[in-house]
Amino acid sequence: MTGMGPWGRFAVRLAVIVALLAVWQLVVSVGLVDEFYLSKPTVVFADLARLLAEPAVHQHLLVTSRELLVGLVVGAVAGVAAGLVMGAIPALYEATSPVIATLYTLPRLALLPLFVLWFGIGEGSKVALVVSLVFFSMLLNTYSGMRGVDRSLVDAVRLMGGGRWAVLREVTLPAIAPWLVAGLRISLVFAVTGSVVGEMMVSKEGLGFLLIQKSGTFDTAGVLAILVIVAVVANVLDVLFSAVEKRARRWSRDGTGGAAPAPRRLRSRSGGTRTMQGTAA
Amino acid sequence: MNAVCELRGVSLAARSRAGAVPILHDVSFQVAPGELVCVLGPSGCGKSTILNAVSGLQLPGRPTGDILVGGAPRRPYNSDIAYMVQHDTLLPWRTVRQNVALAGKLRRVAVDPEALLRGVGLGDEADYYPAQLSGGMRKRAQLARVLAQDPRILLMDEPFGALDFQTRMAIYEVFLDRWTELGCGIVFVTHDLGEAIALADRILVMSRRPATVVKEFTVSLPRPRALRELVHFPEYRELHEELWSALALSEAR
Repeated sequence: MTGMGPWGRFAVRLAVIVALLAVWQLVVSVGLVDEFYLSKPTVVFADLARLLAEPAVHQHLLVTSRELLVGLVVGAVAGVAAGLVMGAIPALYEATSPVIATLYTLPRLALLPLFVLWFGIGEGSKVALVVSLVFFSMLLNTYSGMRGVDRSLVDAVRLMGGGRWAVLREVTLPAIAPWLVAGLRISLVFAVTGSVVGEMMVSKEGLGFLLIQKSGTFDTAGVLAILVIVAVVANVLDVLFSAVEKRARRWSRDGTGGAAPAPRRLRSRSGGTRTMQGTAA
Repeated sequence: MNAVCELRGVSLAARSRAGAVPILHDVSFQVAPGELVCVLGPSGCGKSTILNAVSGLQLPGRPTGDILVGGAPRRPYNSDIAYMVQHDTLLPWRTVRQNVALAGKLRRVAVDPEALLRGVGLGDEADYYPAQLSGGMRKRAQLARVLAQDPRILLMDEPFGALDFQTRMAIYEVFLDRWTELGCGIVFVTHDLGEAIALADRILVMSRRPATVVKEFTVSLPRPRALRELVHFPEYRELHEELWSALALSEAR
């Protein structure tokens, strides 16, 4: 899709979605698949409109969003902080890595019964579940990023008189920013999964709870309508993160973004018109 | 004499699994304020280690002897020192202007990044990121950055080694002009004979590892030096010959 403006790209993407919905509608309408199993777009969107008009659904949406965001923020902040400490003190990582690896590979959903025991059936247990998912992925991403920090840049800042904070602010954080954003985008998926599936397992409100209710009455259209809501929430956050990612990469040669002038041929001071590499054109 | 930098009988052995590997042996020299001393020697002889030792960077072993900066024993990250290393250490996520401004900020020196960048010929590139500049331009930016630190002693480790001839000649002139204004002492490490003669007040020829000063030359070519004219001075050619044989001697050791 290169060589296409942002609107052209948008049009193509929209067309793909419309086409998929059309196929879905057709497949069910002509009776290839029983509507009971798959419902159809017209019904799902009618259901969606009805759901969105219900104040109770707003409450469910609010609860799930809150669990997701609080868990994401708490888990990310704690995970990045832990990763930074471990990156700075390798001995600490050496000592704790078996424990971290074990907890990381553990299916965290299996911890939900414990979280319910500790934090109750409400939002607390789902927040804890999301935190347990996000924390480790951010920790490992931060730590991996720190291992790749260019030592000579650290030295450069130290030699200019910078202390630990200056190194963190000027070198470490910008250097690991792409790792952090990548970690956040993965964490977002974990956070959505954790909050919704957590609610499906044990809860009394939230979109996951609503989903279980609908599926209990074999309301396929209702289930799909809720999934649309979940998808929209996740997508909005993902678009937000990818905008942050672009900003974080603005300085790199292939980075896009408006603030910096685009790379182009520059005139060197040593005479003549020259290319970026400095060879005579 | 109040040298800005003085080494007295400095030796250093790197500790490794194979035992102690001697890198520096009894290195002694002084740098006066406003003096440019070139340390000339074969590649890998330990020239850079001398600069690392003066700057207080981590060394492969503990040096013996005395290293004095401004009359006091060396300490890590001394604010009298600016260090321009061989490779590019501009922060890639900062524009050229921000890189220069940061040096002043960390040193708590009031700097005018624009003026410094104009001084090295980068007046129009202040808002570019390092990745958008040519190698020569990045060197100029790094030059502006060390100037921003207003050092009493400037350490330079083959700073222009990677540049092509034309670009290098242009940057020498900028460098010498700015240095004349700044008046700091400079230790300039190089393996390039012509570069050493063109820039230095004194040249120290180093031996192979373990490095020691085998011979010292004074360059009495007049300043300011018209670099393109230098080859026409008989003294340039004589010095070139002498340095060649001194280096050959140090190779043979």
